[in-house]
Amino acid sequence: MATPAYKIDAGRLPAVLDDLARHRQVITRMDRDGVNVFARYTGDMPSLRGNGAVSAREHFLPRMEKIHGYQLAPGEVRLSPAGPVEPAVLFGARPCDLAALELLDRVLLEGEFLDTAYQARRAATVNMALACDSAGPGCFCRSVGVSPAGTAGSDVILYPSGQALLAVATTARGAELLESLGLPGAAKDEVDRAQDACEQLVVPVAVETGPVTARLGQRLDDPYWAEASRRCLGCGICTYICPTCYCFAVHDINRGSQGARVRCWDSCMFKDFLTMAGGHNPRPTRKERFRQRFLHKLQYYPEQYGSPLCVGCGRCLDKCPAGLDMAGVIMDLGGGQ
Amino acid sequence: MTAWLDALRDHVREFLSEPGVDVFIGYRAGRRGREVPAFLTRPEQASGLVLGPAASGALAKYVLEEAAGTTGRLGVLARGCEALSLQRLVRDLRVERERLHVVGVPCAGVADLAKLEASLGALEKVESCGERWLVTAGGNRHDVDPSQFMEERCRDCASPWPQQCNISFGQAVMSPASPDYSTVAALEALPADERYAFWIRQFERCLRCFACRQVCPACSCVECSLDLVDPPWLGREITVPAQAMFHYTRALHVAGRCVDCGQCQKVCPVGIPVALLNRKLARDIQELFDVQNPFVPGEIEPLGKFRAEDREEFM
Amino acid sequence: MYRALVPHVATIQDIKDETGAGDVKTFTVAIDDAEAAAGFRHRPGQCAMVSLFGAGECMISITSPPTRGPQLQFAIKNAGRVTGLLHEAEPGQKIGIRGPYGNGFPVDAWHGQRLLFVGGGIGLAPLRSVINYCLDKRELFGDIDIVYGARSPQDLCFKEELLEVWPSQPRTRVHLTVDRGDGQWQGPVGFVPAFVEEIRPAAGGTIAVTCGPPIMIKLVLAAFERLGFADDQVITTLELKMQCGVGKCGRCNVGPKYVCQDGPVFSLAELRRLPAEY
Repeated sequence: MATPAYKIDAGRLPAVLDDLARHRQVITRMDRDGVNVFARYTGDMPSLRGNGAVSAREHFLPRMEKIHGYQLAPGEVRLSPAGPVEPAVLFGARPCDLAALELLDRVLLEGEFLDTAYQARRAATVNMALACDSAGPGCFCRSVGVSPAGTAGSDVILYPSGQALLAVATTARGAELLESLGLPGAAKDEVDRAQDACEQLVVPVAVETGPVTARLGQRLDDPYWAEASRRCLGCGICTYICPTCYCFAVHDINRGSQGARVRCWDSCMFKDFLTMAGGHNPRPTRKERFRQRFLHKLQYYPEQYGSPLCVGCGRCLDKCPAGLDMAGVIMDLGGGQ
Repeated sequence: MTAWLDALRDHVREFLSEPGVDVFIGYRAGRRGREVPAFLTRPEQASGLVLGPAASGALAKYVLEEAAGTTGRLGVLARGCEALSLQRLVRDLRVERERLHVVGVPCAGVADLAKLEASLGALEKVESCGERWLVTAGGNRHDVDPSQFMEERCRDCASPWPQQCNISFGQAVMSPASPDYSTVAALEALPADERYAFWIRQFERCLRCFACRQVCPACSCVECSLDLVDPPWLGREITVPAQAMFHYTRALHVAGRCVDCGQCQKVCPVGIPVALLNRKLARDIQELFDVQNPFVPGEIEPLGKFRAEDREEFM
Repeated sequence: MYRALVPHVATIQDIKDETGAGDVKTFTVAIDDAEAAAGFRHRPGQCAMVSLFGAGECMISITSPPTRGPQLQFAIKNAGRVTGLLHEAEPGQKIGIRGPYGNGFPVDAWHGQRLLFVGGGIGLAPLRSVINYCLDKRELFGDIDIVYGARSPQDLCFKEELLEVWPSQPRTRVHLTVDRGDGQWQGPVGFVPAFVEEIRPAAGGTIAVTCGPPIMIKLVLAAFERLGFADDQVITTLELKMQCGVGKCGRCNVGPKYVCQDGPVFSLAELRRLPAEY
């Protein structure tokens, strides 16, 4: 039997979001002073055009997250657990952001130690992806194996059709959620048309990562890294807006005799990311830091897991103040025009 | 093509042939219609210099890294805001003026590339043509009105013509007599709690990527207090008070030294009006300390010297 | 909750000033929860995240061998904020311990081999764990030579073991040197790398393990090469800034290897395949 498809007319969207929000938090994209951000739905209409300025990873790996609380007394310390993870629906993230979760899963959910906080958020969140019927100027998802209609990491995919959204489940829990919403069905040919439009969408930027990855191991001392990194400002934009970056730091936030140990985002582009007590810094200049970020995405991760650590969302192409971005670096290294 | 570009290239070619010259910092054509910072070291590279409305970088700050550990001369292409930024670095003793060869060029505003792309599609080229811009995007050529697509920070620019250059090209343009504080006035007209809500809403988006600091010509401390772990002046936690503290600290550290280049706001990936906070402080300084234009680096910084006649009604 | 990052609460049982100058102290620590203490099984050369609640964590090599009881020892140099505060602690202080982390020394591959340990300063801390392990299983290993140097006689860590315990073990020799002597010092004076070459250890059938300040390691590795050691006979440890210890925070990688998980112990052959970002 074919997977049932449902139709959400534009006028019905608020009611659907209200329905979803009844039993869980709904995270969707909102406009805040003209900036598209992922935020909790509280009744205001979401803004689902384009993509979030910051990727959806921040729902799964928040900018700051409590590891545990502590209370200190003389000769005693009591640890308290972080709060429970709320059930959630992530509504309107793009296929690239959700494909990124599958890349992060490899790092965070494999091996001897699991990132159980991330795991809990993954498990508690039903992802309703919004397929792309138009591309942003920096999009290059197809070059890294992601499709504008891709379903990796999603539980439901929403295809835009005129002013409506057509919803098709891609996992059992997605099907269960859709079924519970009491939506009208969508005609098969309408779904096919909407899906085709997304699947055939032309994205503006194309690169080839394969040959670059194959050669990178021999290019550690390439003068390219020093030359290209000259214009890097050393800020953390690329790492913080990226759906596949995940570095964090652990801090204690102390308030008198109590406090919390938290983890916060950190960036390998920052000067003191690796500076040790005593001052030694194994990556002392922008060259090493810049090279590290791209080698991680294009060599270290692919060698371990078989694909680049990039989903082609194009955010770094749009936002790097120096025009130093993933697609550009791949092309500079011989992966495209 | 801009009439003086060939003369500029010739000049840079000659400059790079001189002994003791390390680099010339300008722009070259990048991909997708961009013009990106370029570091020229050989005379033959001068022919690759470009300067159009898509050259949106901030060249002045690069001088710091380029000058570190070397002794040669550094050439820099400078529009109005970049020339002020270089003066800032010189005044702050970050680089000796004698090492700099500042090549001034006029500026009629930088293109907001995201806005151009949103209305015209993927960019291929953005050129200046008289009073208009010729934009090649999505395979078509468009003749656009710069005022529609200019970056926000350039609309009320108070310093379009670069000052204190070694040489300049193109036609000088008049600067407005005083900075435009209308955006500050609009915000000040709001009641205090609305202003507070406005800023907190902005700061909540802050990622602490430090791009505003990295790009800022007034943020040139070798060791930034915001980076210090011991003592941790800036809490590492991402909470609204910590976010606000970051922005207040940054704004106060550049107060009286900001040149209003607007780069902090332009680079912010989450649209925080960082420069607006700078302007508010600048306007207060202008009024409190009788400064003619707080964005022009002077011999004595208004907050860098105590004068008996300074107002101190808060005491 | 990120369970792997939640430490066990532990109590400092004893603090020993190793050098008399207070810059290196050995902390003997017991994990409070009996079950957790029993479950904490480390290999020589592994590390643990030691934390002071309210100050933070740092990765410290476990200097006690797994062959000696449930208590753990950490020799800690006062080098930064957290270690500075640890140095102010007193017995009875509660701290956090999580781990053990890392690969540890490949001791099973050393059976029947001669062992040469070369340490400098606080670098003896990780070596002490493996030295005592090998001495506790003395019959499994060949002759053991321990070469150790410090800035001055006073700066020699673990003096009791260096001067009395280790030299009295069968087929075990200890060679000490100091950068500069004092009135009482009768032994050799000079830097560790040159001292190793003077001792002229035989390369055949020997595993050489070194740990110390980066500059010493670099020169000792060169000395090993001149003495004829092959890259896969030479073992060292890397020290990098760490945050999670469990291979997730993206911090301590050298090329594709994470020092917290794939290290801290590397053979020179492995290091040669990595970028020199350490």
